[in-house]
Amino acid sequence: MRPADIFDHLRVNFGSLKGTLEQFFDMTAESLLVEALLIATILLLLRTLLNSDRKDVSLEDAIARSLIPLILLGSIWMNYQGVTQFILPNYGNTMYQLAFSRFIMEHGERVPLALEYGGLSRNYYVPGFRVLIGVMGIVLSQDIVPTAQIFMILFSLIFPLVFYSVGKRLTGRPAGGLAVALMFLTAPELQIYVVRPLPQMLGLFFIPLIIYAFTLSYPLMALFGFMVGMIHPQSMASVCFTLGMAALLYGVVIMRSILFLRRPVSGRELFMLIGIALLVGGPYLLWHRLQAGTFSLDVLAPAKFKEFGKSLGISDYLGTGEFVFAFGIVGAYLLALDTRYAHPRGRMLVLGWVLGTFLLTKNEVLGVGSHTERFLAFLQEALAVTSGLVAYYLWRLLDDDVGPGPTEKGLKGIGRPSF
Amino acid sequence: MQGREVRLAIKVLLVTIVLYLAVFYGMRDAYNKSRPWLGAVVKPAEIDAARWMGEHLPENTIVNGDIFGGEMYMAVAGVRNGVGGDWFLVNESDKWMWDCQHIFTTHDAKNAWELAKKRQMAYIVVPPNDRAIHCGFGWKSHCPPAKEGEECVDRKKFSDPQFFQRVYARDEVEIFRVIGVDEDAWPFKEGRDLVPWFIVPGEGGDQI
Repeated sequence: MRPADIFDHLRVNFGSLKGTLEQFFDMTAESLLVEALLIATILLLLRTLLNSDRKDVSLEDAIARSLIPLILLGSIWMNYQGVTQFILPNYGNTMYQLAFSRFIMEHGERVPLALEYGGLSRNYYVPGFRVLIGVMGIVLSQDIVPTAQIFMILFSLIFPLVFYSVGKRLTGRPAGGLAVALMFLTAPELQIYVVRPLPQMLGLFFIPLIIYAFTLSYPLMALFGFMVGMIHPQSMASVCFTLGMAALLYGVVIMRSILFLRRPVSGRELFMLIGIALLVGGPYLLWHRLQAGTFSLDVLAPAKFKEFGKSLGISDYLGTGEFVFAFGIVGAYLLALDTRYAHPRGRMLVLGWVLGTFLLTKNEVLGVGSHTERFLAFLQEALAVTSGLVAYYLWRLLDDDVGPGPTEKGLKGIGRPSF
Repeated sequence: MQGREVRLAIKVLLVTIVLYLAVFYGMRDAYNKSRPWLGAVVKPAEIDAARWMGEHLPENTIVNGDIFGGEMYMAVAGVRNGVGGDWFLVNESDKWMWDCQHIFTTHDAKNAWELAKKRQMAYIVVPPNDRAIHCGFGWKSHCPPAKEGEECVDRKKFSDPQFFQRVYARDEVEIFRVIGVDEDAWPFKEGRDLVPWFIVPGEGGDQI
């Protein structure tokens, strides 16, 4: 046999082996990802079981960490259709948003006028989302549709991890993170927005990061807040109301300490919340001034298009996801009453998050009466987190060793108010 | 059974119930409720037409597609559409929507041409027969055979060479050039002042 024959033989056999493997695994990019996540779960669980005698790692924590790929799998299941069909989902002006990103990709600058209705109005919309996708397209050297598809695949993986991080940060345990990440997948109103490339999606992405950053770093929190303000107006409103309600809660606690307990407490959190709320809303107002020529928001159509007589009722809240709504309310209630299960600062902000976004869904009581239904997604995002806390609460319910975590002890040690 | 084991059993039971509810009720509910929002609405043949527009029409050309088609044309082809996007932020957006719809549904070629000319729309894109249009006032299907008074998409009228010229036809998607539209009059042409930014809400209606 000549060497060339050997190579031909190898090539033919390798080709058929490759074909067999492709057939066996059905190697499309999506199925490869799904299979990789399943294999990762099995490997992580195996590693956990093999290392279960280790004293420095809790078995519960190790198992919880091993299950993260399953949550990612759930998120891919939710996103699969939207990412893999011949074009991106077209409801909710997705392609319209991408049209502006396309302009940025083509010309390297923002389009000055609206693209529709004859270009008769100024393009006033905050540019964060459009710039991000446009720059991403330039970096990837792809057309706008594949760029947005890559963006969606990335975010379908990152989103549950953000919720996991928030849950873990709040509870101090990976099981808490896992529970919150799972509940993120059960919120229909939230999923409606996060499975499409929209500014809402990016806003909903940064809001939990703000909650996370509040327990970690104020500058980071301010940065995330600023980004929300430049990405999506309703997300910006949700953040401002969340921070405002949390500041109100802090104010009540501080007043109680001063007036009734006669105990001096630091008001740092209160001032930081108000300061960061200004950093979120301020740049948006400045942008609005540059575009509209006035600081008054009355010229905005959402302010003009009042939903006269409309008020969301209990059926509206339940109809958009009774599971997460019911669990979330119980979770918020537990969070308010029981201080043992959550990071103290995070707890106050999550309570502010639930109250603030709920108030936005009833904004007619503030005399606004605009887009109340659209804020349901923001309320559900907060309730998804508190729902996860219920699951975690049930898991820890009968434990003897429940008490303040190391973070809470540390906060008390440096003179922060305890709640 | 020791107390510790009983507690563990109760915990496992509680968490299993929550997990079961979360996965088989919550996640399924979220999946089912988010599906309708994932629809493409447009057809693959329209994507091909959009790519053709991207290659053959100048950027920023105003075309008349419905909301779903038009937004896709804007993203894929770089043209501008009559309707779509932030309808609630634009002065008289409802009137644009009515004109968009009437261009498709009127049976009178001259009427359609006048409306397109009024809105400076240089091209009209007619989607395939199995794709209804939506200009803001409900879905409108294609006419089986066009009948007087019936509100449906009448593509036959665009064959009138006095007003329209067919420039693209593939897989039931047709693109017609509107004769006599002054493309230099588009407000976003370089050197033209911007229209003062103001908002006056339209008269409402059952807009999406």
